[in-house]
Amino acid sequence: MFPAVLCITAVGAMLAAMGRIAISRPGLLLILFFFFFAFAWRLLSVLYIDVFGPVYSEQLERQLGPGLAVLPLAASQALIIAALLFSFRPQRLRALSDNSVIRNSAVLKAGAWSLADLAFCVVGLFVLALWLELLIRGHIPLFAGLERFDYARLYGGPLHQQLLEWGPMLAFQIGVLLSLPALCGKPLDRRFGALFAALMLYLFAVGHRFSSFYLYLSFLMIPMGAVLLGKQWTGAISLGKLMRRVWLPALGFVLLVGVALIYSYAVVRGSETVAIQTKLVQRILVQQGEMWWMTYERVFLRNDWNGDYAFFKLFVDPFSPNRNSTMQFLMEMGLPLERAQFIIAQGSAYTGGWPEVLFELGGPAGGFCLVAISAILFSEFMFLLTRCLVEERYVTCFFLTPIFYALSIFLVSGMVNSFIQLTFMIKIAAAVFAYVLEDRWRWSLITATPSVAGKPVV
Amino acid sequence: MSEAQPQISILEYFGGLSTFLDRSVRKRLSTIALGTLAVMFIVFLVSQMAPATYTATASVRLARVDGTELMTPQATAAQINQRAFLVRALDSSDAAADREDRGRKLILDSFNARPNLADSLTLVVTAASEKQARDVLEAAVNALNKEQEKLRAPLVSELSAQLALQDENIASLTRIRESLATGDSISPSAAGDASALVLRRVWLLDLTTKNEERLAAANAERRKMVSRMGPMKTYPASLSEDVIIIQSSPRPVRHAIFAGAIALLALLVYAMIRMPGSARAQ
Repeated sequence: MFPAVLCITAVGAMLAAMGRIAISRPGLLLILFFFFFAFAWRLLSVLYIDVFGPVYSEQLERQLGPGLAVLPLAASQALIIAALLFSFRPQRLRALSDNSVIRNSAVLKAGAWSLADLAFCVVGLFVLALWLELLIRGHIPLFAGLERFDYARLYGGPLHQQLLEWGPMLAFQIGVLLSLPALCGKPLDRRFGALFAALMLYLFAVGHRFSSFYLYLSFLMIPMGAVLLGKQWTGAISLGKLMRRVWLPALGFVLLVGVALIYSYAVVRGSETVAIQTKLVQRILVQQGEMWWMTYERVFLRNDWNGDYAFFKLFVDPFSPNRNSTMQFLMEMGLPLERAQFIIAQGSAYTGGWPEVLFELGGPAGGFCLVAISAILFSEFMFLLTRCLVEERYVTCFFLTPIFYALSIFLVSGMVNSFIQLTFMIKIAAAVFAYVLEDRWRWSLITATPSVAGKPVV
Repeated sequence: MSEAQPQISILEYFGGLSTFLDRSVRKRLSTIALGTLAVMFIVFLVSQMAPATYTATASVRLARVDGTELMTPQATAAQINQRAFLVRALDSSDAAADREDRGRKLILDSFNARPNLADSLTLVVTAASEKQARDVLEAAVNALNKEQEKLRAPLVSELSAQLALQDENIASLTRIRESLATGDSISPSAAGDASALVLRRVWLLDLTTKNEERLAAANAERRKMVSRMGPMKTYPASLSEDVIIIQSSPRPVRHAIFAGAIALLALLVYAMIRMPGSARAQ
């Protein structure tokens, strides 16, 4: 009984901390929604395994739990939240308010063709071409009862493949252009809202279900969160006010996801009701936490971990170097090798990865140190991104987006091999270059503009 | 809606950025150009002094007996990736047999086998010469065959024994056919007993037919057995003909370009930071 109470208390404390952030800093909640949602889901899943175990896992073909696996997971997530609260401390947030911050629009002249107009044309053409590609190719998964993976493999055109690769980052850019006008007290740029809706409908038509909608919406909301943080101290905008403005699209979005889920399980997969129930229990309550439970059992219960081997399998010799090596490694450790490699070769992967990968690399104590380092890096990067958003640094935000995406994927699925790719180095170099260029150029403008030069700066 | 937006002009925005970059670069053009070239030149020279190494990649078709693999690709890869295996392979071949050889450590550190989907492995090794790299791969495959011989030999000898039995059976059936065909067996036992002669001929014909059927079946079985032992279904592990060998070091041009890119970025950042007028207003 005591272990169950301990686990429930830990999860309750973490959920309460997230709730407190949601109430006191709604902007921060929007920025971190992608992570908080994943964190809360994993916590509840591991809690279910801990408290109701032994629970049978279909994917691992073994019993999991009971135990105290949720405690180190909650502690890791607590480190992230602590780092975020430190990075987004009140002094820094106050410096992002209207009184302190100098936006690009304050030092630049207006012109006939704005950045938003150009972006709308480019993104609009892309979305239009995407729909045309779908219609011309003729196989619409929604009507043909195709799985999204099968569509992408068999019929997906080049634009569809580009969307799968860059879609979340596109959603982030749409979010920037949609919400940044609100920083200057203007309404949201609804043209970009319409483009986002067209993208969501496209994803619905090509058979996507929950995960893509969650990912795209989370990335869209991040700039909105930055706007809320920028306006928090002046009280010009609040979560309630924002929700009142967007309740209708939000309701439509929820309905779209609901229909997509029901259609996928009931029509495309044609499952029986009992089978659907079993699958949902596995999907919602077991699969989110099962890989963490395996790591917990290996590292914390059996002290069976090998950082050198993990490093080798993650960075030097993963089974499929072009994909997330963390989950491949965890699957190879948790399943019979041949079965794990067969599943990976089919293109599938299980859920999880963070903080599993850090504990596999560093062991029970070193793992927490790695978690703390990753938490500090992540929280400082998030603050940097938020500051650039609030200052309307479009170019810097554009080049920071791929790095933010890589960090996001690391914090949710533990992907670390993307950090050692040459393309990632180039992205880092481009981001550094763009940041310094825009930063120095801004300051040269600010010092030359007497009306804003006297403002206190961050 | 666009009328309500803060209209940051594209020309103003990107024009301003490019002008600032242009001014920064112009002001320190010589430093940037010379610094980048100097770094590239130094890295080129240093990289050129590095010893030459070659990386060989080849696929290995795994051994089978009677169409069945002796070990799975995963298990074979795990066996080959053991350091002791490679040490044995190197010791038993000319490739880096000398334990003091500098290239031997390079080979031991770089050698790697990874399972492929279609019953094969990919071997990768880096060595001091093209020949040595190729020899190491061949040595590894030879060592693999040698170690798998323990598994392979009983299966092959079992098949050989079955084949020998079938040969014996065919020889026996052939002898019977010959004896039935000689005609001695149908010589009449009593002259003028026509009905007995007819009966004997029918019986003999039946015997011959049955013998032919058994002989044909035995021959078919033998062909099947020969096919099971043939090169399509029974073979040792073998290295593919297409061994890809590339020079992995020195690559002075590549290293120089890489270092030059880093130096260029650093110098550009330096030029922008040192740009007059961009000093932070405090």
